[in-house]
Amino acid sequence: MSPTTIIEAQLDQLVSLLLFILFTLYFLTDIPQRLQFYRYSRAVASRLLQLEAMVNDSIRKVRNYISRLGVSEPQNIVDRFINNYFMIEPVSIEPTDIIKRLDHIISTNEKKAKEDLRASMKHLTDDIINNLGVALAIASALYTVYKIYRHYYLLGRRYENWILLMQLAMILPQVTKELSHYVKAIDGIVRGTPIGDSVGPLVAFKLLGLSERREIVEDTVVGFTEIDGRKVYVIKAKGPGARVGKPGKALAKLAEELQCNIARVITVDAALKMEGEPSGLVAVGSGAAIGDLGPEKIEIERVTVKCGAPLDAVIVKMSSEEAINTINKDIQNAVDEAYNKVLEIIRTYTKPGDVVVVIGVGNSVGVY
Amino acid sequence: MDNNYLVLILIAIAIAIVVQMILNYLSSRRSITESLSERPRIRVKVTCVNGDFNYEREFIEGDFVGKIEGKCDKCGGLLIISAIYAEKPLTPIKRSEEHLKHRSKISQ
Repeated sequence: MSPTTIIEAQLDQLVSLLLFILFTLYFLTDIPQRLQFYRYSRAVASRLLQLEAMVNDSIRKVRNYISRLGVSEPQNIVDRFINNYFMIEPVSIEPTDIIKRLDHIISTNEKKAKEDLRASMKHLTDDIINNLGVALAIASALYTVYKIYRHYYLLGRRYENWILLMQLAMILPQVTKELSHYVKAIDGIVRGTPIGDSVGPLVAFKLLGLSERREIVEDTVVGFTEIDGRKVYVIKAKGPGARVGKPGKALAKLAEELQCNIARVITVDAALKMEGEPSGLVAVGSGAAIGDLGPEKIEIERVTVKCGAPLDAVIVKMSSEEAINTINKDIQNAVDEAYNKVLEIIRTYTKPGDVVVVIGVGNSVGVY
Repeated sequence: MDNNYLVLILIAIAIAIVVQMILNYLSSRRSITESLSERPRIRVKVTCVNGDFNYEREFIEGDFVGKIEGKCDKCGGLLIISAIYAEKPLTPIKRSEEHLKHRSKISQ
């Protein structure tokens, strides 16, 4: 046998031995699971680092904004806000009064947060306090999401649960991408530009123009205009600060003032589009177009039922990214279209002399 | 000799896999970093309430829809901010496409 043939035979034996060892390790030990565990653990840790960087970025943006407002020790305000103001949902096993209880908890939390901010920044206007409150709420939400994923990651590592880590590794790329939009949203809020969710208030502004508004309930205004002989009351959150107001309670109070003499109620709001649908698509339907936790929506429904007024919904479709960031040209064009739809509904389904209520639902940031 | 080819092919596949993994990792990191650093240009549309005049300008801190900007030179009506919107930021690919378009216009 030549030396080359001997080497080749030995190499063959070596490869066979290697394959045998690999086969044994793979099927008769838990090394593959350990490798999976290590692999997914690394992937999740890397994504969590990105998420942590995003949380820090959002906190830095809010802190800089507070510093620009001339407040000393902005970190204290951020620290206090980021870990507090959580809400505990009311008991749902006994549904009696659940909406009232939920509304009470939401109002208490909102008031407490706003009053605390106002106490530490007395020299600032209400609009700026509201913008800051929303920016802090976004940073706080990002931190909460980060904490939850970190919790599951550490649980997975502690109990060597590679299935849990694999699930986290699968979902975290999507979560990180979606949350990056929230970090960018802080810029729009602190600059006070209208966001995608402001389409309702923008339509309300187009109807009202600069005409007089009065605060009918907290953070919510109502104005009056006439369109082709119809008396049109327009409800929107008070602007130009970041507020969503209480459109349901405003409608209830207005209905009381008008003694239920309402021919039609039209709600205008932003709605999340399906993947594949174009942004800025305007659609008309029935019902209350509002995405709150429940108390405002149910109030609108109850008032319209009580007054026997048909309830229309005009929605402008957009992605979640567009809804929370500065409004873009497509959505801005859709505002004109939604406004025309509202006019069309008023002209088609009501008569001159009728009373119509239009509710511009959404965040009034950057909209008078 | 056959074994040598086999080893070479296996090494090539291993290198390709490692390179692919590194590229995937870098591209995922880059896409998030890029999207975070995008800062859209914000435009403000100012319109006369009588609708006979309008212009656009850059956003200034404190602007909001409904803010009175002054009086119209043409009719004396109020000039108000009627819209504020963000122009879509250009992605690196689109930016280079725009650049190429611009260059091709110049060369024509």
